[in-house]
Amino acid sequence: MGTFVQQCINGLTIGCTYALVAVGFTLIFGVLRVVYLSHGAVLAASSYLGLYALAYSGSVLIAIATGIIGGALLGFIVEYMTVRPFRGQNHLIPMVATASVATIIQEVLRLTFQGGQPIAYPRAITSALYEWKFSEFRIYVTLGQITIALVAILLVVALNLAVKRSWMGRGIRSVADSEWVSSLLGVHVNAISAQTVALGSSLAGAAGVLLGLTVPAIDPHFGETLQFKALAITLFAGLGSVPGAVIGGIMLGLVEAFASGYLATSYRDLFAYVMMIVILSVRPAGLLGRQPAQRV
Amino acid sequence: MSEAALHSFVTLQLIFILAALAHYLPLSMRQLDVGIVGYFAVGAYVSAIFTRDYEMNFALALALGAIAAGIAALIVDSLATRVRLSGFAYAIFSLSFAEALRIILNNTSYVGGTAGFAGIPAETTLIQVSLIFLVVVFGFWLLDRTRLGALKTAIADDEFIVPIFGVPLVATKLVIFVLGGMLGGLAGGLYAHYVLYIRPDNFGFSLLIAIQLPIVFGGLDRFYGAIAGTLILGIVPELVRGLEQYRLIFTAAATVGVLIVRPSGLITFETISRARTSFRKLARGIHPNG
Amino acid sequence: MADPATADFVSEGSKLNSAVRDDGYALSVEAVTKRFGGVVALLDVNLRIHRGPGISAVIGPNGAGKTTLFNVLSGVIKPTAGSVRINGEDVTGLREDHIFRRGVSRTFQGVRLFEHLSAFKNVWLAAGSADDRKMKAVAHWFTGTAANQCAAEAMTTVGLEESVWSKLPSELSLWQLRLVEIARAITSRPHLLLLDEPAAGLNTVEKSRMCDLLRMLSTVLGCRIVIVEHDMKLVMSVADHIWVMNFGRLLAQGSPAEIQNDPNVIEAYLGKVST
Repeated sequence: MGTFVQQCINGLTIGCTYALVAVGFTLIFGVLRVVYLSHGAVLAASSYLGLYALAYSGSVLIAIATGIIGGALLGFIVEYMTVRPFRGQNHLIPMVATASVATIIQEVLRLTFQGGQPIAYPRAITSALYEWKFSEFRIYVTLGQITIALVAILLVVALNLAVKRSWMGRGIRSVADSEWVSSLLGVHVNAISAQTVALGSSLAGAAGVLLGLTVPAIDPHFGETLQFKALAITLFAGLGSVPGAVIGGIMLGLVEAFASGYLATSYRDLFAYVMMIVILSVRPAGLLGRQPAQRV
Repeated sequence: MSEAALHSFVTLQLIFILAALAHYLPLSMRQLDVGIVGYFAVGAYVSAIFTRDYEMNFALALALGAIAAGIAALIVDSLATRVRLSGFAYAIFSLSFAEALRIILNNTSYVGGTAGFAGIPAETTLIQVSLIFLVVVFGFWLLDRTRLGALKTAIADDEFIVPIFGVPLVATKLVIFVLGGMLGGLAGGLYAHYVLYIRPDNFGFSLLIAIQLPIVFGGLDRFYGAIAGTLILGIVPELVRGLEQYRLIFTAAATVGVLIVRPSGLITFETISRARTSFRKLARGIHPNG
Repeated sequence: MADPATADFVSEGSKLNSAVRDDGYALSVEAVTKRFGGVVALLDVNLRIHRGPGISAVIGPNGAGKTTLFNVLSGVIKPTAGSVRINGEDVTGLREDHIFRRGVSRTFQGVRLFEHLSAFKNVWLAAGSADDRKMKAVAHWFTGTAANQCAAEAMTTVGLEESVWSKLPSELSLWQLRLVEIARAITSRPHLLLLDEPAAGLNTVEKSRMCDLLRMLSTVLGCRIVIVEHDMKLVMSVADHIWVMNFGRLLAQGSPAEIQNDPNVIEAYLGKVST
C-alpha cells in the first residue's frame, strides 16, 4: 500500500511537469497548426536562465519568474525566425526550420556553459527542497514535489483563464478556429502567432526551472525527450485541448511511475514512444492524422 | 590537417553521404520517413555482432546488416502506409520506432547497453568506402533513368493519380523505402567497422539532425542536392579556421537561411535545366559555326 | 459508323432490370449511389455501354455528379451502394490500378500531368502497366523498355511532334498539354476512355481539332470514349449518345436529337416552360 501511494505521488508530480510542458506545446501546435520542434530547446534554455537567476538572487520565486519571462522572450524570437516565414508551407519545412533553431539554441547552451556537461542548480537551495519531507505513513513527499505540483497547477489555471477570458485569448481562440476567417475579420494573425508561442513557451520556461530545481542536473539536451513526450500527450489528448493535455500529462506520469516502480526504470521513456506508435496506428488526431481524401 | 585526420575525415564524410542518400530516397517522394537513424543503427549493430561474435566475413556481415535494416524499414513503412498517415504523423511514427529501438538497445546487455558495443574489428577502409560510394552514386544516376525513378518523381509530384495509371502505389513506395533502409543499414555497418565502438546514444536526434539538415539544405529535388549539401556543410567548417566547434550551429543556421531564401534547397529541378541550357549555349558559342 | 451504343434506359429506382448479368456490355453501372457524409453525389445511377467504338457524353450543370461518376468508374471512389461491371466482371470497389488493368483509363478536370517529368516520361509511365504478370512487372519497374514503343505510338497517334516530347509540362501550350494527357490515357490501349472536360480552355479551332481527334481515336483504337463536357455544340457534334445528369441522378439519355427535345432536360437547363 505504501509503495502504491508513493508511486502515485511520484507519478503525479512528474505528471504535473509533463502537463505543463504539454499544455504549452498543445497551445502552440493546436493554434498555429505548425510543426513546432523548438519547445524542448526553449525549455532547456530557460532552465539555464533560471539557474543563474537562482544563483544570483537566491530566490526560487525569482528563478521561476525568470524562467517564465525568458521562455516567453525566447519563444517570441523563435516564432519570428521560424514560424512566421513558413506558415502554410508543406510540413517538412517548418519541421526542419524549428528543429534547426532548436539545434542552434542547444549548441549555444553547450558552448556557453561548460561544454554541455551536466550542471546542477545551486545545491544549497535545492537541497532544502529535497530535504524537507512529509514522511508519515511511510510516504515521502518532498517540498520540491509539492512546489512543482502547485506551480504547475497555478500556471495551467492561469493560462486557461487567459485563453478563455482575456482579449489575447479571444484572438488566440479565433485563430485556432480558423486562421483565414480571423484574418478576414481583421485579427492580426502574425501578432496572435507571436503571442501564442510566447505564452506556450513561458510555460515551457517555468517547467524548465521547476525541473532544474528537482533533478540532479541539467544539460542542453534534456528538453528533447520532454518535447517528444509532450507531442505524444498532445496526440493522445487532441490538438489544442488544454484539459486533455493536463489529463494526458498526469496519466503519462502515472504510467511511467508505476512501470518504473514495478518493472525496470530504464525503460521509462519507452512508454511515450510506444504510446505514439499505437495511437498513430489506431486513431490519429487532426493535423497529425490521416491523409485527407483528395479529389481528382 | 594531418594525413591521418584527413583520411578519417574523408572516410566518415563518404559514409555520411551514403546515409544522406539513404534518407533522401523517402524524402524525395515527399514521404517523411525519418527512421534513418534507426536503420543506420540496425545496420551498425547487426553487422558488428556478426563480425565480432561470429567472425563472419565483412562483406557478408555488411550485407546482413543492410538486409536487416531493409526489413526494419519494411515493417515501419508498411504499417505507416497501411494506416495512410499524413506528413508529420509519418515523421513522428518513424521517429518513435527509431527512438524505441535506441532505448531497447540501451537496455540490452548483450550489445553492451548504454556502455556500448566495443571491440568491433576494423574492417572499413577508405578504398572500400570510396568504391561503394561510386557504385551507389552510379546507382542513383541509373535510378533516375529507370521507370522506378520516374515513378518516384511522379509520386512526389502527384501521388493521387499515380495508381490511376496502373501503378501499384503502395508496393512502389515500399520498394523505395526498403532501398533507403538498406542503404542506411549499409552505411551503418561501414560506420561501425570504422569507429570500432558504438553506443545507442550515437543514433539519436543529433545524428538525425546531422543527416537530415544537409539534404534539406542541398535540395530534395535531385540526389546530387543531397550529396552537395552534405559535402558543403561538412567541408566548410573544416576550411574556415575556428569554425570547427561551431559546425552544428553552422549547419543549422545555413539550413534555416536556405529555407527562408530558397525553400527548395540549393539545387532544384530548375537549377539543372538552367545549367544545362547555359551549358548548351556556351558550347554553341564556342562552335566555329556560331 | 458503327451502331451507336443503345444503352437501355432504366428509370431511377423502381424498375431494376435484373436480367443484366454477364451482359456483353463493356461497362454496366447498376444503382450506384455515392454519399459523402450528408451530401448525395450520385443517386441510383444506372447506365450501360455496349462494346465497340463510339463517343458518349455526360452532360449536366456543375455539381451534377459527373466527375464523381468518373471517379467511381476509375476506382478512385467506392460507391456507397450499387455495382460496376466491366465486361461482365464485377469491379465494384476494386483499387484504381486494378481497374486500369481492365482497360479503363482517364484524364482529369484541369491539367494533371507530372510537373517534373518530360511529356514523354508522363506518357511512358502509363505504358505497360496493363501487363499484369508479376515477373515482367518487376523488371518493368526498373527498365521499362517495352513501354518506349507504346509511349511513342501513343504520342504520334495524338499528333505530338517529337520535338516536344522531351519538354516539361511547364513549357507546353494548353493544346499540347491536352494532347499529352490523352496520349498518357491511351497508351495502355484502353477500351473505355474517360475524358473529363478535354476541350476546356481551347479556342474554336482547337475544339474542332479535338473533335476530329476524338473521332479518330475511337475508330483507330476501337474504344468507347466518354467525355464530360460543358460545350453543347461540341457535344452535339461529336457524341453519338448522351447521358444527362442533375443532382446526382441520371435525368435522361439518348441520341443528341432525343436529348435536345427531352422535356426533362430542357427543364433542368432552362427552368419550367410555361404553357
